[in-house]
Amino acid sequence: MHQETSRFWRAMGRASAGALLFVLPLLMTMEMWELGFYLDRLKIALLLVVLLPLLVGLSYFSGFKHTLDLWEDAIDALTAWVVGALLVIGILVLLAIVKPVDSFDAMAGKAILLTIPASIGAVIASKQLGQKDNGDDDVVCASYGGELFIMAAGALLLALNVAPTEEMVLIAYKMSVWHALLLSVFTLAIMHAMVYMLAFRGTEAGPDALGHGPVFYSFTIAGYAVALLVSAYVLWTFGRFEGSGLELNIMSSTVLAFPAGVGAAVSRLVL
Amino acid sequence: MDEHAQHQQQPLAPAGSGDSHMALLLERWVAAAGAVLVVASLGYLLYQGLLGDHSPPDIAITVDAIDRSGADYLVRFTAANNGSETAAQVRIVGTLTPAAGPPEEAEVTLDYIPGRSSATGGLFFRGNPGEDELELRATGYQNP
Repeated sequence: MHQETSRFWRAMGRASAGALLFVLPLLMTMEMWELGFYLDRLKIALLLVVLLPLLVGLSYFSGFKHTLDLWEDAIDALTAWVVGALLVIGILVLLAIVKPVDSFDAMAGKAILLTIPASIGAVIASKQLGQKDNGDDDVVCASYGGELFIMAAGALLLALNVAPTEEMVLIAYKMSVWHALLLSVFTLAIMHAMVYMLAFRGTEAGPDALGHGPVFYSFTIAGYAVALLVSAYVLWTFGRFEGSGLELNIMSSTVLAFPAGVGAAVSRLVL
Repeated sequence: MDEHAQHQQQPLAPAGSGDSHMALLLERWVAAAGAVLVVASLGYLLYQGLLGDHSPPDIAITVDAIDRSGADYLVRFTAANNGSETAAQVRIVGTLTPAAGPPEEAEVTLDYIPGRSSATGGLFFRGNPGEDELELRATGYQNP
């Protein structure tokens, strides 16, 4: 009887698949390798510090095992980190992105930076890949804070995927203030449509219980604010704010808040 | 001990107790490895960020090989960055000065040389670098 051990290995396999799904686009993005060696080490360290509670929280809401206590969630988060790190290192070597001539610092920077999205993918793998064998109801009823947390995680995931590229700032250069304004209205509209459709999964009230107004205020606007903040944080982390003025920073945050906002709105379905 | 294991693995488990104990051990070991990895990563990053040296790029070029390449000569080189900071768009200029006549220049731009790392490239010359005086140097870089 190896039921329990095989269940463990299956969970690991699922985690690896999830990590792969989320990290592959970034592994194959040149900017991500470059950021790995020149990014301020303290910024990467801060990202790691932000990531850990995020992983624990994600594990609580949708881990690759359904867990209830904090200790188990912490274990899941750490497991996700191992799975992500091994996968990232393996693929970096396989794709000849790290080479023996690189310094240890350059290699470590790349690996640590890429392990961040990989570990997020590993944690949410079960939900993504539809773990149904437990047969239990896998929706955890989230409080309002929990809802915002899930939205922040979704925003971060999408933001991480596009923020490393130079296009974020390039788009901001191309846009006028009016474009930016229109973009934020458009983002809000899309988010509201998604939030309204998905708003009530796992909560007590059905869509009919609340009107558009309250949903807009408590989810759409709040979600957009979360997406903007996450965008600004990610852009700052990747050094996209260096040497640019406040106006450009706000513009590029607005650009990134578009995908981040979509991620935030949809996260409540996906995560 | 057995009871403890069963408790941790509660959702489904009529499995053998040795097996569920094994699964629990595996789980704990992987998590412990994760804790070590996270702490090591964080410690390393903080050490590098706070105490690591932040010296500017210092590019040293060595010639690896000189080969014939059609009508030209190919000079292959390694550019090592001995500083700790990354240099981007590193311009390498090679000058070949024959005993008589004007000097010949060739240049190439290397995308990146991370700190304490190296990059390789090649330059083509009409004249024979084996006979004439060859000088390779980095003339500039960009901060990434």
